[in-house]
Amino acid sequence: MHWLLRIDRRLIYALVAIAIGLPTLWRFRLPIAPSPPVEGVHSAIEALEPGQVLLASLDFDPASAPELEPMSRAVLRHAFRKRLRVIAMTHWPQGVGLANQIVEQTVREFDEITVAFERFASRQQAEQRRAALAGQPLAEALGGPAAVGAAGTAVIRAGAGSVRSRSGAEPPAWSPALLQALGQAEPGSSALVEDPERGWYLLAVRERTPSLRYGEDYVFLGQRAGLGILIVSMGQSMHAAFPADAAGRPTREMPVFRGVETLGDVDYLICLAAGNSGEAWVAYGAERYKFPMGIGCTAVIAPDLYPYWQAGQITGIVGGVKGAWEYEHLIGIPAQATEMVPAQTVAHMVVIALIAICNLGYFLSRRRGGAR
Amino acid sequence: MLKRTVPVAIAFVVGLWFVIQYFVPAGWSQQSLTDATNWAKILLGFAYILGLYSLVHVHWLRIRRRQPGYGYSLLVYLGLGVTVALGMVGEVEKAWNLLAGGSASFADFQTYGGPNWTSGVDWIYTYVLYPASATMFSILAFFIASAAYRTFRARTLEAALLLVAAAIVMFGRVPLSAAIDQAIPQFADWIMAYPNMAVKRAILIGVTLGMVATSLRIIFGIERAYLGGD
Amino acid sequence: MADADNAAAGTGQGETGRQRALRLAAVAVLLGTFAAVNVLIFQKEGGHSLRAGGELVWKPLGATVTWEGIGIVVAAGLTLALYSFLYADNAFFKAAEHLYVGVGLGYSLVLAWFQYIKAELYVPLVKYWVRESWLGEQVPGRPDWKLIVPMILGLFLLARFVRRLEWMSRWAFAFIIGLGAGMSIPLFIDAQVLRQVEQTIAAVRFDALLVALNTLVLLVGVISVLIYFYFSIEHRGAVGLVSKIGIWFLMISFGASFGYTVMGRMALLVGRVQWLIQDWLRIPIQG
Repeated sequence: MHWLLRIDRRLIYALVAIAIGLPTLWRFRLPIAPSPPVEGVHSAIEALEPGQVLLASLDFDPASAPELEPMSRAVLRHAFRKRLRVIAMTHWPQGVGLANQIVEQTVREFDEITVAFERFASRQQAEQRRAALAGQPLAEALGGPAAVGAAGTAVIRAGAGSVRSRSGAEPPAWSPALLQALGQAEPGSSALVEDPERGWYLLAVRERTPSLRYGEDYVFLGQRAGLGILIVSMGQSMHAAFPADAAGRPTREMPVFRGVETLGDVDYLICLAAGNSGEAWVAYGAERYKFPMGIGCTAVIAPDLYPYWQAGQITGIVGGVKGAWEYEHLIGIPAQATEMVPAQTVAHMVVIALIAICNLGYFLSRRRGGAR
Repeated sequence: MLKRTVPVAIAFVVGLWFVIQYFVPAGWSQQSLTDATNWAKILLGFAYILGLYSLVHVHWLRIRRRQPGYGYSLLVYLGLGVTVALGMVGEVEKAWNLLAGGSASFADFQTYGGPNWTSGVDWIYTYVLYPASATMFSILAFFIASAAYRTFRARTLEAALLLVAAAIVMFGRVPLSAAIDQAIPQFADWIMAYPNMAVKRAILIGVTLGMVATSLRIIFGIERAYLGGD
Repeated sequence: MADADNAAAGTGQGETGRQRALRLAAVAVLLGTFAAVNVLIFQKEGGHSLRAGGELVWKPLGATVTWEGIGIVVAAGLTLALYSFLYADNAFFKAAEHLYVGVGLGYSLVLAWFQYIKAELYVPLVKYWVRESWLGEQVPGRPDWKLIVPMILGLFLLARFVRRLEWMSRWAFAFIIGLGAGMSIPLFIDAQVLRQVEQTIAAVRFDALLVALNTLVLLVGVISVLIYFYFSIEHRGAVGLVSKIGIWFLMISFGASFGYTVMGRMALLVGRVQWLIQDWLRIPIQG
């Protein structure tokens, strides 16, 4: 056999690890053009009015989280920014914790977060300031009367990527990574942040005021068994299918369900599927109870969904990290998927190269030693 | 009679009714579907617990029979025990309070954990279940790269077609290809939307007809595998 | 017991004393490196972070240790133990794998109680017996008596555990299977056959060359693959040719699926590697 056909599997593993590790450390920008299936989901949600109901079925567990978590967050950000009412659930037992985290964290991003900061010319100055303030609550001291650097405050909504108001000095550029971290930061926590243009910022979270209310703006129903049977049950009566939410609170009195008795009252359904729940939502749900829907899914099952898209049974498909990246681009909030795409691109090229090498080796060995 | 005829009769009556029910929009007919799906959903919860039990049982047998590597099965029980303990401690506490004094502040609505334990299950989920599950499946990335290298050879016309389609789709999905020529991702999109879609549609139609046939066989009692042995 | 120890240590058969010593040394070095890396990370972090911390604050060696910090170390350890399988099957991999199975089962059981049993049967029904009839309390609301049906059928299902009553579980299964089969037939025929055929025909248009080509591809693809899967006629002559075309279409589609599968699998790995680099090692990212 040709030597090109005898590369050790561990060498290939190492190659894959490097192909993913290096671009994770050194990211690069890539051109982007959203594809029609992704636009189909985005424009359908974009067309909804504030107060309309989006049902988000987060049907995956941690095993597929890297593919589906970024698009779940992007869709939820889009929905909350548009002030839609969000009813979230999952069909997967082990997905309950994950879906709950995703919903709650996205909601937290929409808190009004007050950030106090001081700007310094160098990292050294910033660290000196931090050392001088050791032991004091940074959130109060920063930007106070005894400020050393150029001080200011800003009120942001991290999830919407928007600044509500600000005073004092120019704040740092709100990079996606900073917004993501601030979105979850507890009051009192602090960080040292570099802004390539303006210098070094010492910033701290002063307070956060929730803007989305549980049971009113959103709800997380948790999970029930049954898949298709559960979908029909929801189509008959939402409250029969889910008498209680994930925390066991009765759903009947929740204002988020105002005017939503069955699946037919849902204005749009997005299913984020790692398995066959997308097909189940179409066959048992959308066809029978008539509501528009879209599917976000792992790349593995995306090709299987094209017949439904062509038949107009779903408005679009968000496939894998690539789809999530396009979605993040469409809503203008680059996040997790945007961070993953460079590494995925290099890994892809490595696999294509491996296939090329093995075929080259195959042809060379055939030419030399006859057919094998 | 009780073991075979009754279950087959139940499947027949229930199955036939819910085929017909689809075409009967009356209120009582709708109510029957609402109730039946609600009940089946609850029953499937029981069935799920049965499934979990059989998994637990497998490891129990391994330990009891001292099969090679049964030490690992003890780890299964360690993980199971700690998680269930953290999850149910609040329930046990509440049940205790209820039996001891029938406390009026007894909360019916609460998820797992007691006052100080609430985050225990979440911690295990975030730092044990999540990373282990995600890592197990990410290992497939290495295997698929290695498999692509070892088996993807253009031996026949069919294999070549598969290979070329895979390469075009893969390359078309890489943002780099758009930088070279916009036609590459467009061609990949076309493969997905036409040849691929046509095949997936044919498979969908075929598989669905098969499923419908199986459903009919179940309703008419020809297919009885779900009843188990004897 | 000796047998189990042997398996637990993952020793290969016929290993010499020298090989064993080398292997143990390698394991010790790896574990030592893992421990040292973690200590360094904790010291460097020093508790300054935008992350939400846990309640536990413990400061050995000047490092701040929180429940979150311990969690990240545990998660990193599990991740690396599972990846060690890529080198060779070993005891660390097996231990991590079994722990994962156990925790997964435990989590599912806990949720099954809260979501399937408590929320569906205890709160709407059983609660009233326990608290009104038995403890003599006043409970607002009324029991949902219809739920007695699934409760009894559910107990029938659990009768599986008793060999002599096993047949009772069949009644419950027959109900679920019958409902599933009956309910699915009209919906599946509608969504996955009629709508699909209808839209294939609706897409037939010949108003431009490209549109005509697409129509042709669509029609030929669907029909040839269906014929390829139709085994009741012999695949000879014209039918053989069409089914051959069907194979070509299938190959193109499998290729596309393979390409997407690679994409998905790589994404899963990217997610893990990112976690290791950013959340565990906390290496700043360039770009």
